Amino acid sequence: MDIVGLIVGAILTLLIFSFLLGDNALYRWALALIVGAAVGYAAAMAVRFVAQGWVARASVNDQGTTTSLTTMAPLLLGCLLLFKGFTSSRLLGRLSIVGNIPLGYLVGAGAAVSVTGALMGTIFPLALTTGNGVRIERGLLGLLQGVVILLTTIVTLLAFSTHARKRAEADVRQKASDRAGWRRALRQAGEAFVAVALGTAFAGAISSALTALVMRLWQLAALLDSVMNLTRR
Amino acid sequence: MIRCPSCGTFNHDSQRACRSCGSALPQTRRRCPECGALNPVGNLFCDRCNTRLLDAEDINQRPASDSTDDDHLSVKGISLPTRPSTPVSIAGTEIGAGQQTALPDWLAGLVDEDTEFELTEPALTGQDEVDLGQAREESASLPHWLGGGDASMPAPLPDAADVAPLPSWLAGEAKDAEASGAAAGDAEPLPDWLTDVLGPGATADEEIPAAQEAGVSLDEDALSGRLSEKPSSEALVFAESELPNWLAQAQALTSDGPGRGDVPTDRVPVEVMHTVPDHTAGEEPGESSAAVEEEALVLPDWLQEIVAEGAGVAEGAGSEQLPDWLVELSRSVDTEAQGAPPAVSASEVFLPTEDGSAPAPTPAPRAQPSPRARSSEVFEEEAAFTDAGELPVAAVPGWLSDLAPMAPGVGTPVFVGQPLTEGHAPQNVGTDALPALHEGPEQVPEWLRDMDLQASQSGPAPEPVPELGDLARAEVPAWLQELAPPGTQGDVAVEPAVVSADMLAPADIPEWVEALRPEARAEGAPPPARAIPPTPAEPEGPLEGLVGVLPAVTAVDRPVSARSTAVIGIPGTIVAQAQLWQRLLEQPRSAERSVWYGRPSDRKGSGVFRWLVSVLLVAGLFLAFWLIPDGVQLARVSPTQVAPGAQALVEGIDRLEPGDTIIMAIEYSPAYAEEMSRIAAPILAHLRSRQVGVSVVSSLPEGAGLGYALSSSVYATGGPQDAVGMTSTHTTGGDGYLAGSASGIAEYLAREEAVSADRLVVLGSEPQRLIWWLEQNALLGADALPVSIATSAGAGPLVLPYLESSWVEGWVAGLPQALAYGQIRGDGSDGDFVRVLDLLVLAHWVVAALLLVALLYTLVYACTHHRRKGAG
Repeated sequence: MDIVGLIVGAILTLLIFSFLLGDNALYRWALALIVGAAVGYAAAMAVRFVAQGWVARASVNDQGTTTSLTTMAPLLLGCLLLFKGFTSSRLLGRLSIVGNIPLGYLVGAGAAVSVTGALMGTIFPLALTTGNGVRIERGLLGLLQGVVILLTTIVTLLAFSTHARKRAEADVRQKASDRAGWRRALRQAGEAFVAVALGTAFAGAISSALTALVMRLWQLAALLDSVMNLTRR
Repeated sequence: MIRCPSCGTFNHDSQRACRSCGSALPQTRRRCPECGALNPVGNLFCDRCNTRLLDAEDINQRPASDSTDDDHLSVKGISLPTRPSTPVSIAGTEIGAGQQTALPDWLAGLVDEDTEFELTEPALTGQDEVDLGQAREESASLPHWLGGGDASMPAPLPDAADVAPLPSWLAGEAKDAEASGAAAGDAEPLPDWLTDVLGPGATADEEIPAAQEAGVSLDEDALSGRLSEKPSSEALVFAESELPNWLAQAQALTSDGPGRGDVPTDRVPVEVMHTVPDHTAGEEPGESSAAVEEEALVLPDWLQEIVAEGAGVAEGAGSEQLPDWLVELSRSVDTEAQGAPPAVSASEVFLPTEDGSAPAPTPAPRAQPSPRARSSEVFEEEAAFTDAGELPVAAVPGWLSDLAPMAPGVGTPVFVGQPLTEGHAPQNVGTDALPALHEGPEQVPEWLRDMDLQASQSGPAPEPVPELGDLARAEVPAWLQELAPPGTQGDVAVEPAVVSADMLAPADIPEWVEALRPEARAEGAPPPARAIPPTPAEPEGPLEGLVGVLPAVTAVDRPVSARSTAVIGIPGTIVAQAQLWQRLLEQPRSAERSVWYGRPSDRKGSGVFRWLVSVLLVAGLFLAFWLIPDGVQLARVSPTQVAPGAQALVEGIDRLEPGDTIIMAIEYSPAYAEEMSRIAAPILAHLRSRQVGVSVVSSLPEGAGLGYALSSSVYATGGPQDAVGMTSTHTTGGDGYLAGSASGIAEYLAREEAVSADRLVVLGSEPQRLIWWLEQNALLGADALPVSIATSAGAGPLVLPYLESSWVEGWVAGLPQALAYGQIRGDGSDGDFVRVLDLLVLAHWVVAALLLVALLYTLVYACTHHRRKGAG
């Protein structure tokens, strides 16, 4: 079984690698297989462990009314959300407005969770971390590192604010702001930091891709090694 | 329109050069210097103001060949070309320019510009020599056949230079004019039928100024004397080249025939065969009414004879003496008189044969009619417009009427094609002229001599020469008036119908029309000034301040208050589409990118580059897999430098006790499963060694499956699988899938099983999902779980600020840090892991080299491209 998995995996890997020679049907076929398998698996997981689980828990009313309500309410909202899928139908399309109720609930709850999480889990901690970096207790090097982090953060934020103003205001005002040399210098510095950050992220993406490549080649080499060992026997 | 001879383009008459090819155009119009009217090139005088168009020098300089057709074309009506200004040599005597006035134009036209009359010396007799000097002064230029005889000359010519040669038949015409007793001084207009024949637009009024301008007074008695002059003894010989074309044409018609009295050959034009004039329709012999008989009395002799012969033909007697064409003519006349359709129809002509037999009716050629046939058709068409009951079957064309010598007494022209009998011959030529004619036979044309001979032999006594004054005053001779068909002379004055005022209805004139009525003003008073709107001045530019540069305001303008009453409903969709199309059309084509991104457009080069990358990566790594010895380690990892968070992660897991539970969040896609499994393997091995229970959860549907596969691969190597297993996942209501993204994570962290967990370990390659876990865990505050993170190499830099935050206890990012984690823990990673890490380091070097090559290639290509673009 492991040999079959290795062979299938090796073939699919070669098909994916064929993209190095350009877009071709083999690459597309392998890509479609992967995407289709992932979506199918996700759908199966949603039905198997979400829908059936909710229905099962709603049907087994052994935990009191409160549990039933908390179970039935999401189920009801989920059913209403299904009407959003009939917008193209003439009859049920008018009922799609019913789906706006659970949809609004989802968007509102998700926005609240995200905003709260971003505020409490990203902005404040990052600001505190950036501020805590500038401390003399960390030594001169630590202090210098903290100052650099602080300046980099400020400059990057200024660069984003400058870009936002550029899009929002007129070009005349932008030209007036560009006349100020220090603002222009800050903006350019912020753009440089952003470029470095994006370059680093790109390098990490390449490293991850190379890791996947190496692992795949490793498996192919292992397969060939196994085959050679079999032939030796 | 003028057709360009070079390219065939049609141009306006006033153009001198072709508008298409620029080549010179033949001039078809000549502009009058006085009035500016355009006249045909051949015109000597303006059609409008009668100004002379051609200078005398121009006429003299024209070659003889040019004075053929053009001169004919220039003859309009009865206008004749004026005489040249250069002296005309008459027997060695030159008639100077100052003597030109003595020669009337219409006579000078008979003389070609290059004609030089010669007096043949051998033809002179003694008496003639005596009279030669006087003749040179008086009548040297007159041909002998023009003279009427010495006895009839009433007075000597006042000036020899005034003498102009006249053909004999023309002299007879003058006599006939006098004999007809035309009212002197009555310049009657030409009859319509004659003006039509002579040329369009020609009127009798044109003749008078032309002659007056030439200095010829037709009232002078000199012309009369010339006409009645005794023929001089010298023989005036016309060379054929000296004859006018129209006369030469007549000569050809007559001289080429078998004889004067014979049947004309088929070379005779068709018109000759229809030589019965219209105005003789009432004189046809077959008519028996008394009026016709009365009119027959005034018929000329020759016509009366024709009538008699025609009657004889009708009676069957004497038909053998008549020519066939005359027999046919008589038949047609008889048939017409009987009311039958004419024998000669519009589509038939009779062509006599060579032997003189009666020609058979031959259809006229229609496909390609000759010019003469065409003129015959025109003639027939003209005849069709007249009264069929009054007209004969054919009419005499005008040009033939001019050519015909006049029969004595009556003035009926003798046609060229008609056989001349004794009664037909012009009788105005004296018999004295015969010796002169015979004395110079080699110089006198045969046809002319024949004409004169027959006329002199058969003609009666010469008629008295008409008074010159009568002839001059009578522009239209009497014989022409008599020959004119009834009704064409305006004999019956048609008075205009008188309409009384009672018959008219009062006109209802609107006020606005009345306002436009011009006001009566005094004679000679200036016209009322029109209100001219002030012309605005040029506001700017080099013409600033000048008035009249801008166009004047239009006289009729649309009122300001005028509004369109038409309501056109245009749907909004159409308007929107139109506006969209307008925007798309007005939008300029997207300009070429000013920034060149260095992407080579050469497919061949791109393919080579792809093949190079593929071979270097795949083949190189494959070869490295086998070629690198086992003892060689390319990746030299320093745990403290490479993985700053690995030590904290090891210490945190070491603090777990056996039986504790951790939450392991799987937040990576299958694409990163290979990498993440290698990164998570040392951590799971550490947890296994610590006998810690693991609860696998994920916000991705496939996360639970990847977690199951990961745990299986780790714990399959041995150990208490039950220590972790999938036991805890059952409590989440599924295989650890947390629907709802951040909300699902928040909901899961709020559960009891999550709160009771001892640590949260997040394995992820997606930064956003890692951040969700960190944020939602931070929202728990004091109940927040200690978090440890293991990420891929790509997600590590993006979440590095979070990783270095205070609530993350240990983290690893990428394979090297995972290897450092194992080295810190001291579990002794397997050789395969180190080998994979070596390949990864080698792959990074290869990729770095490829990027460097690509950078150099891009720079070189960019420089070349810019240089080429700059050169272009």
